[in-house]
Amino acid sequence: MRKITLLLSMLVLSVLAFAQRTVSGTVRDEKGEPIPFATITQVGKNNATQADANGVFSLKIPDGAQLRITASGHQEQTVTVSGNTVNATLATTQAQLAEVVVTTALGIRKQKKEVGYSTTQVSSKDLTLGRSPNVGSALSGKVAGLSIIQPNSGVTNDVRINLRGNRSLLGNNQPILVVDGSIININYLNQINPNDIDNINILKGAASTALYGNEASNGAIVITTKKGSRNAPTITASSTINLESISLMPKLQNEFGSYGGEGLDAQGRSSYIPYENQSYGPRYDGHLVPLGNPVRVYNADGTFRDSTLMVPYAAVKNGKRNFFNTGVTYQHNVAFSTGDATGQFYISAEDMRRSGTVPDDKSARNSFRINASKDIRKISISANINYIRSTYDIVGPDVNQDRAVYWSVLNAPAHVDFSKFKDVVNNPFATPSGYFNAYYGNPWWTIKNSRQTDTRDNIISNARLEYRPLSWLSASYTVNYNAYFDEYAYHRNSVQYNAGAKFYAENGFDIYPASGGYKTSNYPGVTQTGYRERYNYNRLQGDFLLNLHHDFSKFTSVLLLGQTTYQIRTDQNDLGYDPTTGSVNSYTDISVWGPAYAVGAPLSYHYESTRRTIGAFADLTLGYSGWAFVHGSLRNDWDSRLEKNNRSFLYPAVDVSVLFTDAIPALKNNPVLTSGKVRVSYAKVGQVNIDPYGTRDIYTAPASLGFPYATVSGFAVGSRFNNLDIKPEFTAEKEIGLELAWLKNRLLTDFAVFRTNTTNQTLPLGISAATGRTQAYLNIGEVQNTGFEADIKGTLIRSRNFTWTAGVNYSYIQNKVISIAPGVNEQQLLSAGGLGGGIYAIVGQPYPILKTTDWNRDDQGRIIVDKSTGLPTRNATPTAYGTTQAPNRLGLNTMLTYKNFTAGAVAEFRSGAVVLNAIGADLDFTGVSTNNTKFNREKFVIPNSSYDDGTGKYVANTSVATNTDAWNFFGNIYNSVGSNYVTSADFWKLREVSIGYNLPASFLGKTRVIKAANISLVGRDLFIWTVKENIWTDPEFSNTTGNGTGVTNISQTPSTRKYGISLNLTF
Amino acid sequence: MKKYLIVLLLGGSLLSGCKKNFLDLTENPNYPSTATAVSLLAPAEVKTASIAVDPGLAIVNVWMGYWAFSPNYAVNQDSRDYRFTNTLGQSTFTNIYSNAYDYQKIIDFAVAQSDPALEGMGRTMKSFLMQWAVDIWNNVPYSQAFQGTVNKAPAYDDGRAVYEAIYDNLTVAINKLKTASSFPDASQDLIFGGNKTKWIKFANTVKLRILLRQSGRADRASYITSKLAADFPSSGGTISSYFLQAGEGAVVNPGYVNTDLKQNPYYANFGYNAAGTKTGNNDFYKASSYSVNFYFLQNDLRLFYVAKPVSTGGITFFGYHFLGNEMGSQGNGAVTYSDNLDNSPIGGPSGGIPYRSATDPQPVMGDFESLFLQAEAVQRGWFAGNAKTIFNQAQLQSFIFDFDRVDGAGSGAAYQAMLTATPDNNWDMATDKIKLIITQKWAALNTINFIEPWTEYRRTGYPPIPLSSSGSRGPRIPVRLKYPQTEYDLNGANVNSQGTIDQFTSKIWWMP
Repeated sequence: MRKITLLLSMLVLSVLAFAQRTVSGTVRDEKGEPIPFATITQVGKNNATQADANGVFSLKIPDGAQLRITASGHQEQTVTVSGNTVNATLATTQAQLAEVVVTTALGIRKQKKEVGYSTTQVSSKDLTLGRSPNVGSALSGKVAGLSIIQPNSGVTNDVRINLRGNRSLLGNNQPILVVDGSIININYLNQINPNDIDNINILKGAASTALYGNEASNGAIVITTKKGSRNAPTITASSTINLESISLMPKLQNEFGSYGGEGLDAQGRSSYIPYENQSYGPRYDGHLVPLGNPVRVYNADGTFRDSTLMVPYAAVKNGKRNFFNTGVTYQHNVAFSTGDATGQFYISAEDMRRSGTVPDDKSARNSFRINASKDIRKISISANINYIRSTYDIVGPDVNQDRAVYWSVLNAPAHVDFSKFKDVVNNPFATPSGYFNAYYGNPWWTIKNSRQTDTRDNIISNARLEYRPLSWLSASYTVNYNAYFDEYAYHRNSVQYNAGAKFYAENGFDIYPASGGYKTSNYPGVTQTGYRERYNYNRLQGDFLLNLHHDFSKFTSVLLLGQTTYQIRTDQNDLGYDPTTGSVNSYTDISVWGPAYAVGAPLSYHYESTRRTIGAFADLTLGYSGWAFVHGSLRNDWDSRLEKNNRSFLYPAVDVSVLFTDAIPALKNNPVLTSGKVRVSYAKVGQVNIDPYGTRDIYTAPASLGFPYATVSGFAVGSRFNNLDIKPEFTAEKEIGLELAWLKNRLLTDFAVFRTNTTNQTLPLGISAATGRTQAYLNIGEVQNTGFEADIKGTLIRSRNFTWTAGVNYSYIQNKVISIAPGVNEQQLLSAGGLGGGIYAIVGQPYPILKTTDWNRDDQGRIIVDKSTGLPTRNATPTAYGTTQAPNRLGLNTMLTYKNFTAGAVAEFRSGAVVLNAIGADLDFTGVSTNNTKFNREKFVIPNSSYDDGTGKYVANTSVATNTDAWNFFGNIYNSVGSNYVTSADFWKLREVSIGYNLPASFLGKTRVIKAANISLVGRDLFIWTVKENIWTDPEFSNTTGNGTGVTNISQTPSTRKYGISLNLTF
Repeated sequence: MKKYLIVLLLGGSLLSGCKKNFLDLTENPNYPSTATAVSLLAPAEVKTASIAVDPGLAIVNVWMGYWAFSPNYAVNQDSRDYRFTNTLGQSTFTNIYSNAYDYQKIIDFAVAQSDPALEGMGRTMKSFLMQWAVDIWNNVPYSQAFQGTVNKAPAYDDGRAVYEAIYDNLTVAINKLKTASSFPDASQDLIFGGNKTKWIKFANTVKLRILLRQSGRADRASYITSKLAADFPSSGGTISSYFLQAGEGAVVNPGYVNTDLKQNPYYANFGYNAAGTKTGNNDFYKASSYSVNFYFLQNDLRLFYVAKPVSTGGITFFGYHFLGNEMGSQGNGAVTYSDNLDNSPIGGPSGGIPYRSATDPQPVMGDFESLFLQAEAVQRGWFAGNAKTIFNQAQLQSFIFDFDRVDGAGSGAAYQAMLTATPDNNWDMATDKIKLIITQKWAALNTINFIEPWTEYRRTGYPPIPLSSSGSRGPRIPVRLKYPQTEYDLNGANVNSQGTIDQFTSKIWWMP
């Protein structure tokens, strides 16, 4: 601290040595936005200064002197000074690469040449090219090193975001989100109205985010929203309509109908079973067959007649695809912007409504934003408030087996025409009592009667007061508050089966035994069920920042001192549900949530948490002669989630940037290489990767064992070993980058090589049950990510009417587990359930690695079968199949402009990863996939198999066929082996295509009101290419948004393509 | 200048001015972070009782001839055929170790609190559970187990070494119990209500079970003799003073009620939920024709306890119809099977008083089980006494447990008297007394314990349960389970060092 004080006093004294009389002013662009870092020179003298990040400068000059004002990307201007204030407005021109202004950590704006680490800016124009209703998917394929995974196609817009690979094995790997200086939960990304965004800066490495402290070890997505215009008031309005349709369905067989192992006939053939859920029956032949049991149709007077639904025994064309709708998204946005020289005001409103491909699924978002600021002499005040209400209403689990609705659709026999079962009230064959399937409910009934709804109110706000007492000193205090209030409700209606359903389920037809199934076992029905959950999150943060800058002859210096304190509180309340046991109440009347209506004891759950962090930091940037910059920072955090002795941790960051084309005279004004910069950085960032209260073991009254009972109470150790010694994780990152501009900025290249090492990983690990529990929190392991990133942008053609630009971004990440724990070579991180194995970390291998079970194989890799049965067996020890995180990611984009037309496209390619299509095991269980018709449903000799000839020697099997039918082989044996469902996850996607037309000024001139108008046709995910072996689903999908991506299942509905039209008007 | 210093100080004050405990937030406000030994006892005992009827072992009831599959479901052919994967019984492995760790925690707290009573109880229960672990998987982690994060991948110990270690641990437990003066009360100790004598007898009974298990192995004779001489000298007491007697069963009832999660564990898993809906397992498993015939032919009313009558068909027994399904018949298409859905393995006359309810107590070790062990020990000449008397008492206690609770005092004795005497239930008619004892233990444990009947079958081969009728079944009733998939996933090196496990040939060490 003493050193800092000393440095501070030196800066203060050196400023005080100047004379007292100065002129001051602000440099702005045509829109009235301040131009940072403009150079202000007294004409004819060697007297100059540089404006600060807010365009504010001051300079001592004699009366009547002229000032020449220059700024990158703007036309030079000379002004004559009269009075003590100068306000200059510069016209915009093409920016020099090194002088582009970027927003860095804490909202500090710097010229790119000063920055010794990697940043990528995405402009509003690039972001909204495909008119995506949410920001996450709009970033896909646009930034090297930025991975956006869209794990499903629903209306809830989940995404998983990662920069430069996974570095924490089980902890958080997602970057932080910073909106107008406020750190907010990354989950907000898709809540923000994309039209409000002015630009997004991606800060990829640790060096760029060290100042944000322990939350930012995974990089940051820094969003700056639009500010009010300083010119005439402007209104912009836009409307977009997007349609969404299914693009990729699993490959389904259309040859065989229902049978589920009810017994083969004397000839060993399977019979047709009308109520079955499995499709291992006889081949389709087109004749009429009953679908389901006879249905008792009741008249009003209680009399009934029996009726059997007869359908052709033939596959219905596109029967399952046609179940899905065309989804529609409407997005309307209006914004008003105004301001003057000292203040600005921006207000916007958005209405987004979306209906999904699953019938009746819908979501909506309404958001309002106000951004305002005002300068009063040396004080600036600003405030941003954003309120967002987002809602969704989607289908819930079915009543029979709590399955996803997609399960009931996909796994139905191919001769079922879903369009016939929509009227679940009046059509006797569509009601729960009459629906044919003895196991899976009618998906239409589920859609109408099982709903999950969610309403989330978000507030993101901050207020900032900045005081600039001297040209070299400013101090600011910012209060940030963001919160969300989420209310989720699930309810499913009751079912009453009629007596006919029971009668036929029990007695059936004489041609087949009784069906039993769900209706009989649950006769007379099931009650209503559901629960409600309220989750509140709020974050309050105060940031104090002192900014001092001063230039000493050829040196420039900026010193930041800051202190931050924040607190995050969460509060969860459930009614009708206990998450510790998964129990959900049944009700006699769910429309009234009161406990009085619960069947059995009413369930409830409450959990709250508070965490606090204090951070203090110093950050110094030194520049020499405008071409060499050294920057270093030091931050200490104190985090309440850790025990006292581990709570405080310190970490440094340093980077160097050299504009070598300016440093070396011989390189100046080179016709080929316009400018070049090399950068080097090193940073270390600490991260506390545990939830609050993760250090101490807890004792709970074990609800799963029924505790507490009326007169007996007691406690049990929690299900996980916690750990008092948990320490922060540290990520150290080294990076070298080269930024080059060629041919007068027609071609820009940016290459980076980096290596991050994350040590002290904090994991809730699965451990052997013999330890006493199955999970423990541990500090172990090191992960190393080595990567290369390239970003190339070129203007291929630039003429008066025609411009063609193209860009390539590519990243390769070699990710490696260096160590796990002494003596531990591999660790399971997530289980793949019944298929065995799961997601692992293995020393020396990339992370995450997919391991799953395979057949027992001989030393030649042939599948070992039993000599007499021809059946293979599953090897319990899982085999590794590769990483699930694509190491190669390529993004391509191009933009064509011809007169008033623009056309753009973004494509993305990912390769090098594998995916476990667990959905395949489900489809083989029911027999609907083409996978299980490969051998025509006959007994077959397993290709590439061998058997033990009795002497321990394995001989090729060419004759011993499987001795069991397809139902047993595919539905019980084959589908328990994970390796049968592992494929390459490679894909190409055409992410975005847009064709736009700007209505000519001549046309708009007549209206006088509309200043600009644009109409565009947009498409997203229009085309997807995957490997031939992947017959199941989109390999980008995942059953989790957590680290263990790489397993898909039947909870993800098919991927979709979106296309639409958008109209934008400026008044 | 002063002004700026104030600004700086302001920043500094924000940093340091906070209250001292501003960051002390590691204590979880939602749950306690410490406990006493006694507060952990009741949940641990409830868990042990539930493991006796662990749904992960439901298939064992099919192998043991108690149950068959419902014809209404196409079951997993693998388990019907005695072929199964490593996930079968995985949850039981986790439950046993988790429960044994609960007792380890009680031992640790008790040692810290100098509470010999709870230390003795903890050691007894831990040994009790670990015997089951060996009986199911043979070599299992023991000496390196229960160490939490200290040893995340415990090595496997030889099954025999574990047996000897838990026997010795019971000796320590008994010594602790003997020195203890203060015991928990009935709301804290659900098994014996803090009764010192019964706890010592229970520990001794577990010892007897351990010794009897090895009785088929000639190479263990000297071990057994030395332990009997050291621990149960005739000078130190009689068989009835050493072991649990009639009415002294280790039975748990925390106050089971008909509320989800608070039901008797057997009823919860194989009966009905609180709303009265059949559980999946109730639908899935039906009584087998073997067990229905066994009770029927001996006029054994315990049939009412283990199976629910159907409306028509099958055998008629006191006016009720019972129809068992054939083991292994499902899916063959070759056999006739019952299509009645009511023949569930949850007993009770239809329309009458049900013999099973959500509020039933759950035995950890019934008094009849202890008595059958004693009858066998006397029959083997290990103790002085009348084996026939003890056997008849064991059989009586089984009837009493099944019926007196519902039909009133004395009904169990009355029903026992109604038995048609056969070599399978009558001491005097039986030529092989050991076979009789084990067969009646099998008859008594139906739906009460999933582990012991299978274990005793593997030890003695009684009763002569027919093999599954499935054509593709394995050669014999499995002698063990495979190690859990989770061990291959998380403790691979240690479990793989146990070699290839075959459920038909990789025997438990005490098997003859």
